[in-house]
Amino acid sequence: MEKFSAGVDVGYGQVKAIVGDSLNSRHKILFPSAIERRDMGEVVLEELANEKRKEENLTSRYWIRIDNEDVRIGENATGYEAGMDRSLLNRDPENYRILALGPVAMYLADNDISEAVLSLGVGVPQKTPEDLIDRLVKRLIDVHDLAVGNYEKGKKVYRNVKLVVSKTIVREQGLGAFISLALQYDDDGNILTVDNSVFDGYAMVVDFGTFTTNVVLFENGKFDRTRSDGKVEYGTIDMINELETILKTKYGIMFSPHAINRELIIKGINVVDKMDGTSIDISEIKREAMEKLWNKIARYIDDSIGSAFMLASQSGKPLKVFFTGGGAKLFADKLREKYSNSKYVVFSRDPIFDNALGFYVKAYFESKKL
Amino acid sequence: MRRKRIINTSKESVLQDNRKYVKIVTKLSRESDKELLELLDKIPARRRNELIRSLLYSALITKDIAVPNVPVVEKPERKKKEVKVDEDAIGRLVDGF
Repeated sequence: MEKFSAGVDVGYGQVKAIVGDSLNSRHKILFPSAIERRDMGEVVLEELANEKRKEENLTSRYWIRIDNEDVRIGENATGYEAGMDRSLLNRDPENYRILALGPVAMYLADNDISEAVLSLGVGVPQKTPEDLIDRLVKRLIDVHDLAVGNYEKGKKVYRNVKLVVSKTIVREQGLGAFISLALQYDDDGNILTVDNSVFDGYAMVVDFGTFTTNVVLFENGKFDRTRSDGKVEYGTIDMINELETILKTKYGIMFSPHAINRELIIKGINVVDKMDGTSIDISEIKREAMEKLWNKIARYIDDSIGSAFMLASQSGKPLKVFFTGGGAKLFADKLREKYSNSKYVVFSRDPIFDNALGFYVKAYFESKKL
Repeated sequence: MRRKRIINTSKESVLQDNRKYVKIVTKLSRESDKELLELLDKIPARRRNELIRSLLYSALITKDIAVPNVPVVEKPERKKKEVKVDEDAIGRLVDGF
């Protein structure tokens, strides 16, 4: 049987996965970090299934089976409960269906693969108690024997997909990105060998996540926990909050909590009508919001890089700084403007998937041992 | 008893749902937005609300429109170019973690 591997980076906002059978034959999957309370949604799921089946003459796989219940992948949870942090805040991960591994299972089922070795990275807030992390990870792994459902001749047929978890990495989210940084690639993104220079001195991974921005430091290739506590409670999602604040304070426009319009105004819709009948173009406000968020995050990054630079200078060791995560893409222009002349800064070729790629490489070699 | 969610179903209500305070005018300026609306039109109205949310959030992160909820799987063509990979060195690298 062909051995498949998967590296999965479970973030607060998005699950990033890389699946493949060799280092340079790999596929990327991006999926919302969706969770669903176990006591909700079942009826609607069935209704949706029927609706969708009628509309699309459904033949492709649309289901995963978790806890002996069918979950319509993706459609049920998003918009209601999204992000691992909800189950952590409520301290009850056992009461949620966590769909993080579902898309990977779907991909494997689509390719007639029934088993894959998995390296899993899970991001959790810094102060999350250890016992709660253990429970969350257990809940994630509990559902790793997934069945992916398909309709064949009007009957639901399941294909079992087994995900063998070889390694679970919690907290040290920068580790996956560090492995990505430590690899050499050709121009097409093919992995070639190891870039040994990252093992000489300090390597700082700045991970711009959805809800937080993390700084992780490695010394001679070793994760330095004592200097990796740096974290700022701003993430890409805060752009929405900034936008909301500007609209409220400058224009008296308010959005109801959880309004989808908060997202609507991020992209696509640039004109907002006020209650008095006048309308305003908010495209400039969007730029202003991004600028404000960037200024908050940039100050923190400056401090972190400054400290690392001092540390490296004092010890006479080189420093590399690596920007990764969704925010590295969102702020790509800002980062290049500020750091493109800095020789110690490395810009990722695919910042969203850096951690997942590192985990994938780990999973690939773990699978070879089995 | 199983609980049932109530979701607004009409196309209008999707837009009206959360706009007690502000009316959004959907002026579309870019081609990708038109594609987005075409895509949304094909989706049952009751699910559109959630899809828009997720879709636009994805767009924020990737600066690109990707089909939400249904996993976005990139399927590049298999690399035709033969690449020499130093697996021993990479294996030693990840063994340390």
